[in-house]
Parts: sequence; structure tokens; C-alpha cells
Amino acid sequence: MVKTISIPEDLHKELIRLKLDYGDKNVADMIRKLIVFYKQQRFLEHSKKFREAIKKQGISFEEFLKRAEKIREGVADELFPDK
Amino acid sequence: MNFSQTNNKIVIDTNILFMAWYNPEGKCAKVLEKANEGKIEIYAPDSVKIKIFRILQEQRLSIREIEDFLSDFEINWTDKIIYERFIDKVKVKHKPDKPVEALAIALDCEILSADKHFKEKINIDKLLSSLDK
Repeated sequence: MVKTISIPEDLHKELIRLKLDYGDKNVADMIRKLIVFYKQQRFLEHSKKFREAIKKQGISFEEFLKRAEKIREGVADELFPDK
Repeated sequence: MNFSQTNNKIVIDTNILFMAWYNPEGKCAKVLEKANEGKIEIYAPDSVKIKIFRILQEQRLSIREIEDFLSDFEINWTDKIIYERFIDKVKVKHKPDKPVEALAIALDCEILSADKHFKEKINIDKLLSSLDK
């Protein structure tokens, strides 16, 4: 299914220009690439935040995984008490 | 075990996500990026999501922040109703891993895990090289 969205004319022009620059078949393909790029940037920010959170706890990543394992076991007992 | 290119689905375990966030240049992160590029479909049982919430809340992250973290990747979170009936058929003995294997059976695909409890799992190097072809 194809949907339409309203965007300002200057943004429309910019999208068409980028489509031509990237050599994409259509704007949808180009937007998909932009979303992948955007997600990659957010992932890098989250990665930094994740490492900082572990550092704040004063533990190593290996220790974090050990603690996580205990929580995993607790959740498994809650979800599947009789398995 | 090799990743089958005839079925581009894989099931991942909790630690794959943690390893990706810890090392964004690492192999786990690269596999998850392939899902964002639409080259592979990644599935995980809802139990993995619950575990991630609990574990990251312990790290003082808010629910909103954790939701943001999880939106980094295209993961098909799968409800218990899909895999529950396969729980009794799994080989893995370690209880937290059972939903992961049960979902892999339900979807007829393989598991990507860093967990030593899984005897049969995807070789990440072979997976990445098959996705780069």
C-alpha cells in the first residue's frame, strides 16, 4: 500500500535533489537509506550511554553479564514456572 | 551450524543485544545492522524483551530510554503464544534459553547466541560473510 504525506515544498525539492545525487530509483528507497543511517547514529549514542551506565556501576562488562544472567533466570521462573 | 540462505530468519538471544551495545563495531552489531538494511529478519521471544527491560532498569535507565534503545534494531518481538507449545521440545537445559530455542523451532530457523548452553547455533563469521555476498 502506498501512502502520501504532506511536506513543505523546499523539503520536497531537497528530497528530489538527494535522490538524484544518490542515484536512487525513487524517493522511498532514498528515505529507507536515510532511516538506516539515522538508526545507526542513534545506536552509537545508545551504545555510549550503555557503556557509561555500566561504568557508573563500577563493574566490568563480564560482571554486568553475570548479573544479567541472574535476572534472566528470575524472569524465566516467572514466565514458565512449571517448565 | 550454518545460516541457511533459503530462510533468512534468525532468532537472537539477550546477550547479542548487550554485546552490540557494548561494542558497536563488533560482529553482533554488524548482524543487527544487516536487519536494519533489510538483509535478514531477526526474531526474539517476548521473554528476551522483558529480560532486557529488567536488566537495563537495574542500570538506572528509564523505561523510555530502554524503549529508545530497543528501537535501534528491526527485531520482530514474538509473543509467547507462538512458541509456548514448543517449549517441551527444546534440547537446551538452561531455563532462560528455552524460549529462544522454542521460537527457533516454531519459525524453523537457527539461533544466534553468545550463550554456551546452546550446542547448535549459527557461526557468526559465516553468517556475516553470507550476508555480505
